[in-house]
Amino acid sequence: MRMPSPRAVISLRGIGKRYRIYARARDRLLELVTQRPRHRVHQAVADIDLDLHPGESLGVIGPNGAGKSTLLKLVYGVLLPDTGRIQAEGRITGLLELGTGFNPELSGAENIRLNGLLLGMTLEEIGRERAAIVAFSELGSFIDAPVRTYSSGMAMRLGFAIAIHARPACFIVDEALAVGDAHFQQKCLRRMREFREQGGSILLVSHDLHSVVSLCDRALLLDRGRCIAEGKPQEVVNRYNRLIAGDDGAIETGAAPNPGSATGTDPHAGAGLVSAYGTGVARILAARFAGEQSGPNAVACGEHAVIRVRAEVREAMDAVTLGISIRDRLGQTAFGTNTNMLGMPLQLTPGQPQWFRFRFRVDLAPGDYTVTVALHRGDSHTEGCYDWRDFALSFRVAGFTARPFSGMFDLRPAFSVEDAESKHSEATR
Amino acid sequence: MNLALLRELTRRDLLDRYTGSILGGIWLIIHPLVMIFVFVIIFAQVMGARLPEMTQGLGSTYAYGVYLVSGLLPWIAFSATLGRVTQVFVERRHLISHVRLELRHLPMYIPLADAITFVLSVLLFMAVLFATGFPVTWQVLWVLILFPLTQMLAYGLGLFLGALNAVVHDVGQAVSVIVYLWFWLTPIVWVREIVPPGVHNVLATVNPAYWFVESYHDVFVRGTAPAAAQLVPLFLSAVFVFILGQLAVRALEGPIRDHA
Repeated sequence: MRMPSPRAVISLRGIGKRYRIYARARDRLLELVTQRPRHRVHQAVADIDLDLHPGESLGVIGPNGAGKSTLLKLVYGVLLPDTGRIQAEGRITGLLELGTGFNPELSGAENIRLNGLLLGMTLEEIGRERAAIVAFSELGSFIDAPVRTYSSGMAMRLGFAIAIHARPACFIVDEALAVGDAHFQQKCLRRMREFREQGGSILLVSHDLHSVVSLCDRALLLDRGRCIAEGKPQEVVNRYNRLIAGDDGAIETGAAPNPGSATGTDPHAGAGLVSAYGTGVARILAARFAGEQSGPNAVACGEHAVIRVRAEVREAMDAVTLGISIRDRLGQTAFGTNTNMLGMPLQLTPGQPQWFRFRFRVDLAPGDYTVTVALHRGDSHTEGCYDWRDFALSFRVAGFTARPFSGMFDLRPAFSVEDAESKHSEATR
Repeated sequence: MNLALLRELTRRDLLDRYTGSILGGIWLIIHPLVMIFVFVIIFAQVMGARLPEMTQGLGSTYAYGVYLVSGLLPWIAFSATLGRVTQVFVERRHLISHVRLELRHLPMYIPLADAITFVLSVLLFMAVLFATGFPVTWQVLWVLILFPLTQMLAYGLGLFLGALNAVVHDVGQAVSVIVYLWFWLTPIVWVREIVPPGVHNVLATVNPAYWFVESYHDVFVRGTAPAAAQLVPLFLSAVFVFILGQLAVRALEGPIRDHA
């Protein structure tokens, strides 16, 4: 067991949490009386060591039931561990799952006061931050309506606003952001970045792997209560994708018909080309990105780029669709298309892998992007997903070949001065 | 837990049940006022109830009404605090599971809120006593000692049962049944002279509510200091149960949080 780190905001050593599960309520009493065990033990979390330093943000990912939320509750102090020691310096606030500890009968404004006090703020602090909290939550006049009339997104906004304005040493978020709309999610992420830059620590549980990659310095992969990977977010996310694809540790699996075509051995494939999910009836074998002038994984704004994907089917099928989705560093889809939208049905013969290419002009703002590649049925992956790979590719848009712009896309604007004559003729027409 | 939070929780507890009402906090006074009026005035005038052998208020028309109210007011505070503290970890589970709180301190707003209701009621009661000319002595100042002891007893017992109730919800149900029975095993409606001496001795020995209710009767109705036979066990049991409750919550904090 490591010694607690002296500088850490939060330090966990050998943390374990068990639940006793009783089939019926009365089993608890019978066990007490007969002294014979009548429960089964669920080990939610086991042997977790963790240090979180000021200004550091840590993402916790893992499959459902891996113990992520339990771990956060232990850190937050609303659950007690069975084994190990937790040391926490300073105030911890955040959003745990859904719900915020609000009193639904009270107005938003009254809940700011109550919640603030519960979080350990003084009345002066609450008074000082109140305006900022209301402004951030964007509730406007709803702030005086009872919280029970709020949508879950509105309640989340208020909860987030109070928690972040309580000036914690560590801020904890458990999935809660998923409730908000895209605009507010981005706003929260921005605010959390600011918070981190000011020296705050963040502990984040999320199924949104993109926000973990874009926000966190470090990530932790939990599986069945244990930490099975810790390190750079992108690496841990890749490990997670392998884990839920059921082929943890090796990219090649029995699903690949011949080892030579396995994606992991292709040196030009994107580093993250790992199976996320899908039935595997159709498979993506490799994917590459190249700017036509810039070369692999790089492109300038305005330049044409090609995404090449090698795919195969294991049995004859119709309505196979190949899709790509380009995401920015915040995980927003900047552009997506698929062969169904393009009206180009995919022709694939079982056992005969085939290269396909998407060519397009990259009118995206400079920055880092990732590409999700997927094989699915018909219109969208919800109808049936064969192979879905997040982070299949990453590329950088650097510099402009055309005129610079601000924002996300180049809309290729035209500009001209209207002369008086044409305006006159328009008016008299 | 800081004082500002305790104040806020207490205020919310007292006033939230009246949110949306026009009279608001005035309802806090209307309830005890009507009760005192019914018992002291109506009971005395209409029922003509009289109490035997009461040294101070002997012969007073209002003696039984005063007897009833002086036992009821502390009983109401005691049973309300006990019942509510027993349920607190279940009722406030959304708080316990979402906010870091010291569990032992969270329920403190309950005895405090019930104390405020009690103080308002006693002041009204005193006003009615003066208005009816019922003899009041300086002995009533004993309330300043009796009441904190009563609330300590209720709070400690509530914490102990509340810790159990968080794990096994039957405890809370049992408490409400037992409190009802307990009411009738305590000389609130009946007077001690009407029960057989054997039964009376048992109750006087084992029933903590007997100790404080009879002490209130001593100071309000009989105009004497509380008998040491009640005051000493009341003090000892209040301190003991208070500590017991704290220990129970500390010991069961893990399970309480698991069930929140």
